[in-house]
Amino acid sequence: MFDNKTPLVSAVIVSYNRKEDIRETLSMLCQQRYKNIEIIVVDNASTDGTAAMINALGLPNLRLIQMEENAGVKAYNRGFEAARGEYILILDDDSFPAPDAIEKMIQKFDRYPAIGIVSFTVKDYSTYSTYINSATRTSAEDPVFNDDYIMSFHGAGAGVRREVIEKAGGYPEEFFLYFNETDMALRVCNAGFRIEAFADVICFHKSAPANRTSQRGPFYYTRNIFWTIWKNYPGVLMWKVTLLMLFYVFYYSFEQRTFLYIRALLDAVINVGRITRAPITMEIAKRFRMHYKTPFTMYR
Amino acid sequence: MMMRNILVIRCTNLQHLDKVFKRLRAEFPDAKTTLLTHRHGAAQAASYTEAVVVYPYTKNYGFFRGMKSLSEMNFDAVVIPVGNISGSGFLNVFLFTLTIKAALRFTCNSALELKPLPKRKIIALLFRNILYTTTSAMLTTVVSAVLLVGWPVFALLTKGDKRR
Repeated sequence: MFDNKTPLVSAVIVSYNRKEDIRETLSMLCQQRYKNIEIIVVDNASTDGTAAMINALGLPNLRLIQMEENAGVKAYNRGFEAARGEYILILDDDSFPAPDAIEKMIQKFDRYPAIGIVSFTVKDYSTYSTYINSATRTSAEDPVFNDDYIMSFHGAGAGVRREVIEKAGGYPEEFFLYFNETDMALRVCNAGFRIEAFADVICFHKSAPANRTSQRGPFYYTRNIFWTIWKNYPGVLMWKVTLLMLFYVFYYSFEQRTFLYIRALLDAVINVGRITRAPITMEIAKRFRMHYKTPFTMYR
Repeated sequence: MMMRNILVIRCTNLQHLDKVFKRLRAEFPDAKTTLLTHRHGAAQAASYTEAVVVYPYTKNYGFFRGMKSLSEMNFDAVVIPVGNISGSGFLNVFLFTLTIKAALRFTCNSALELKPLPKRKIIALLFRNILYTTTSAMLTTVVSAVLLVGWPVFALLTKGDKRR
């Protein structure tokens, strides 16, 4: 089933009640130009028959892990533990790589040994047909790497060396959802690996409903940005950014007439015992480009 | 008004930008679009338009971080993609557009609505910002004083820190 001549890639996908989306994701993975792929789906206790559908597909290179409850990003870590590949491909259940993306991802890892995470360019799903039919694709020429600042990666499409997860750890399970990539990215960079985005390594992601004003996203995002700062930032910077974030919580609570951000802050404070502090170096913390305002642009 | 020359400022993710460009091409099929982006997004920007301008600063767009080359150009419109419905959180970009010569300004929100953003609205938002900033700064001072005195958890958390 798997060959020993090319590196094995483990695609890890967490599913939750998106049966038709993950069916398409699996179909697209089967159409990859690169063939030595194992697929690990961790189902977060879906109630829409996702697990039954996946079993019925009978894909020989697929393993299904079922969680007992919706455990959020913890499910990804179960997938990482089960992965046997030299490289791990992180996908959402509503995202999939372009047909040549995994092949290109491996080329990048081969060419740049210091890169620990290849961040895919995440395009909107609606552009897929144009991309496939387009004669001209983005040049495969790699950018000059930017040493001024470090960026996180997108959890809807990222390739990770297995040794990166072994050394730096996976997603923070206490986060449940959102901002988990940033927390992991800080640890990955602190462990000495680079994270680079490539314009020609592409995946496609379906959009959330455009006018959704869900409170879940901004709540977890706000709480988890506090936790990320408290976990990772060295002392003085941690205090400075905490004050800045406090200011933003009040500012955007006034502006958007909501208590949502104050609730998220209180949750972060009350449950601070769930996080374990392991500060990164000041050099990494200062170069890391974190968008402190993002949580406050998600609600209204 | 005939739109021939539009500047799009990249300040949301590429997935949103895909949809914004689709919307603009449908709305203004004959317009030339120029995309302003930070350096980390320059390679990706090339797939949207040939006219890519790289912002020379690593910090966010801001009124006091204008670009001479851009301020010498004339645009029919500046479009600011915003990742939510209201445009909340993008005032720094709105203020930055005041450094650019453009007849019209629009936001393009998560529902892909093109909403006019006249200069007077930006100024009004700035005044509101000053009010909220003052109030929030006072609240932050009070709360942080309480935290410093009464929340020993932080001290416990930082106990293991080593100077790096």
